[in-house]
Amino acid sequence: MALNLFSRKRATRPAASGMGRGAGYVPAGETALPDDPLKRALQQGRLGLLLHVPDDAADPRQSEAMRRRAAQQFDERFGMVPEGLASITTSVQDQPGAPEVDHEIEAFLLARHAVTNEDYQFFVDDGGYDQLELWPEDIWPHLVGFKDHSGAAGPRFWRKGRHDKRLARHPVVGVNYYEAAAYSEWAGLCLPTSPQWQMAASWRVRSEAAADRRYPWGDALDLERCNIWAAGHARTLPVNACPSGAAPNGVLQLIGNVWEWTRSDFDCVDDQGRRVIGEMPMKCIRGGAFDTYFPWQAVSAFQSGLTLLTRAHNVGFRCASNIVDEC
Amino acid sequence: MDCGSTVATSPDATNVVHTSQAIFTSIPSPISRGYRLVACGADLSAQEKREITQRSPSHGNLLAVEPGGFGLLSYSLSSGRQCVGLTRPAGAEHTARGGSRVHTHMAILSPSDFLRFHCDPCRVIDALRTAVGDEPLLKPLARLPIIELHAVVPTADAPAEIIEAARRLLAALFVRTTRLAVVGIADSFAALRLLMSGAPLALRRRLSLSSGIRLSQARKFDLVFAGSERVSAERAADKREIKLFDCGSEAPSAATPFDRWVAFCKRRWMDGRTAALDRLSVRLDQEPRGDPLSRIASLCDDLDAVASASAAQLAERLRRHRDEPASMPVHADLLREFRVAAESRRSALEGENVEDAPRPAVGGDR
Amino acid sequence: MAVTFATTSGTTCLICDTPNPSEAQSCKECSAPLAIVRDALAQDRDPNLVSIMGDSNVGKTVYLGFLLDMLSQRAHNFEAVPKGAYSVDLAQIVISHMAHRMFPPKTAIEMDEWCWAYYQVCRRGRASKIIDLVMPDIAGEAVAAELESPATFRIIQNLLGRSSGTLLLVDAALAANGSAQPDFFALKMLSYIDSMFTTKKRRKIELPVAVVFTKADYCPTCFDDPRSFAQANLNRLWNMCDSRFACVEFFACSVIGSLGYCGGENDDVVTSIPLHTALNGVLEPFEWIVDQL
Repeated sequence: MALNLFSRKRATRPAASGMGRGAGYVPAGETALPDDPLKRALQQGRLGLLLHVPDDAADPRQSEAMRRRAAQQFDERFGMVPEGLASITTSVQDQPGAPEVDHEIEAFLLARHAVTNEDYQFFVDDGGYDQLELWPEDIWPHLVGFKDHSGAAGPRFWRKGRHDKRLARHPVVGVNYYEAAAYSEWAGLCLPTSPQWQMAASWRVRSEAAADRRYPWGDALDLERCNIWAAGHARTLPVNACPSGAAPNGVLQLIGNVWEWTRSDFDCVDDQGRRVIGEMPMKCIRGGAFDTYFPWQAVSAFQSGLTLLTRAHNVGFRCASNIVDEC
Repeated sequence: MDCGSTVATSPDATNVVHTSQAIFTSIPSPISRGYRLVACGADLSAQEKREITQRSPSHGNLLAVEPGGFGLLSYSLSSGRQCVGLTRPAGAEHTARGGSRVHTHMAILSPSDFLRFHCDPCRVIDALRTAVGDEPLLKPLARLPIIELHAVVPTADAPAEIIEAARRLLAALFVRTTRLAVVGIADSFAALRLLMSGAPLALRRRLSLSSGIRLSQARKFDLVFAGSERVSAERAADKREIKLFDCGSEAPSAATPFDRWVAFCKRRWMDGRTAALDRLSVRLDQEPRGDPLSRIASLCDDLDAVASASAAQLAERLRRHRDEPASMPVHADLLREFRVAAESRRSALEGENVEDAPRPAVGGDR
Repeated sequence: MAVTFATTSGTTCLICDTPNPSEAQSCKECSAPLAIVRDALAQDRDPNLVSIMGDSNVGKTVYLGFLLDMLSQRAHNFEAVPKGAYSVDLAQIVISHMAHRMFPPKTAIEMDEWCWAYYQVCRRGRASKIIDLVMPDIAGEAVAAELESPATFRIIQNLLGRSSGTLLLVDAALAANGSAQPDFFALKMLSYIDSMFTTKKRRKIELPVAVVFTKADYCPTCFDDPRSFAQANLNRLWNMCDSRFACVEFFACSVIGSLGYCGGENDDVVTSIPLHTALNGVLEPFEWIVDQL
């Protein structure tokens, strides 16, 4: 047969006028907060501070009541990760037999959800970007660059200091490591270390049958339990989505949805023993995200690194707290 | 591994040529990056530059990437000039994706300059290596000056297996109808050097070849020494008008009209008379045909044997070559040389016979 | 005009029209796989050639490898079937390397080392037509050499001349850093295409061109508005598109979430390591091209 090759039709669509993002942005409204500082802190989710609030000489019973309510919220919003072991590979070529370092993990508390846009809004509204005590001194000159689309202080994808209210319960993204750390400190909490995060995801508790889980729910990939590329959502989901993917302590979405900042330095070598570095220092990120293409990059043992000032569309964070109350 | 095994020891002071040069490699610059012609002589035409770009090896195409390893390529440009290139590893590929950078430094010779190297790319490579030094030039001027190359006469000792490989290959070259991809030779540069010494000039002139460079259909070389990469050479040759030639194969070659000449060449190589063979071959400027080459080989053998021939042998050989027509000027020269040598030998033999004959009595009855 | 590509005595190359022996696997002139011709004839449909052009090191191999793999996994409701095992080679090479945190090897300038992919593509769930796509992964140096001196690599001219659409990849990271090289290369590329298709009446070129800004993770603002990014950072490209091309669109894409580097003190070259993947904007340019076919 004959082929009529490469016949070209006239183009049916003229060049489009533009493809900018952010169409249909709906800014979240202001949230009224109580005047009482303790009640305000409770509503803002600054639970770490409340657990340490000193007794008010004028009304010690209120202080005690606030601590109890904070503790109650802690129970609701945090899950306990038991003590255990985390083996962290030191090689960027993560293959069987790659060198590892074992970390003994003491029990700690990990937030059940990643920090949401709604949560982070409280930090922004409280003037978190202006509270210099929350930021390392060498970062102060960079604070002017931590702006949203409209130039207001805030995560990268916000506008005029407000999040899109349709994404209120989605994890906050577009925040760099310093923003994640500043929020955590503001809330009286901290970021987990990379071994702590891995312990929470792999559930390698101390027992005779200690074994790493590939995922918080077990060893088999299940696209119903996590939001990675193969699940087909192509965007973040609310932090309470994929409930069947929870760890035994009820912590959700450790795998998929967004990568999560940890406070550990990214320290790996290649197969020739040369240190892997970034354009600037990097911290470990964990868990994979909605656009993670390779399923094996969204497992409990996989770690990647990201430069400290990167404000990526797929990186968020969650908070942790030591049971013994030191971060 | 394609490391040269011969050392040039006899500089030929009369053979100094001045040629254009060119460099094809991958060097970052403000304007461009990646493999390209990074520098060349001012006299290279646009068409020559195109052809050099089309045929030069790029990433992953040098077989010997260890320090000291090299490859060579040689082909005619459509302008009539000959491009002979020395390809070497030059550190790591600069685009941070790993692998070795490939650097090719080429001499662009006029036909007369190439002839001064006996149309032997191995000699050109020897001269080029001496001229450019051990380190590839990675920061060349955009315009390269004319380069001075000194032709040297190489000493070409080679082990027996290389000689046998060269013999088989020479026989195949005479009768080939397709391009040849050669595998099964440990030192292809040594084999190539021998091969060129036995190849008539007419064959050398039109032969495009490479050694130590990956077989690529894009380069369209007549002869490619593909190293030890048999599988990839097989795949590349499969159904593409390229024949895989395994020098290590046990199978005997089919008889050809050139067998006598090829056997003659082998004897010369084994006797260490490669240079003399080369001087003879370079005078064979007509399209190679089996019969004339066989006669020349026979004549050379007979010439060698004159000094120790008996009178009967001499007579037989003279008779054989008496009415032999000369197929080319060198044949005529050899016939003349043979006849002179044969006559001289006959005279010498006759003189000996006179001295040996019984002398008559002198001076009365004893 | 209809052309017959298979004869009793041989197979004519789809790209350069060179006659080849019937049992040949690839074209003796341009090394394009002749299986493409045989597969196309078997489908009884006109294949569409989509060419992917760009400078050396802009990311053509990685882009095309991920694109093909995503199509094979039915992303964006596409259903794509590779025609012939050779069509899977490129995706396999790219995915295998990237999965081990390595970039695939540099594409050599030698045409016989280029990977070709032939896929049948359609949209799932609709009564839509099946499109046969031929997409070669070519070396950026070959493109650059052809732009520098036309007829150096005629296959580039043949590819563009027979393309139903072109993806022009441009390095957004370089452009955002202030380098003019991507802009000049893109201008040369578009000028080359213009000279191939220009007519006396100087109508705009109808060939759909998707300008894809690769490595856009370096400059995230590129994702927000690729058109504005082009106008601000690649003004020559922008003006050329505006003047001479009737069907052009701008896209941003990235496949790397984070990049690490390593190199010893004595090394003169630093090796890049893709620490994790984060696919963004890979399918959209392809989707747009398919919509134009």
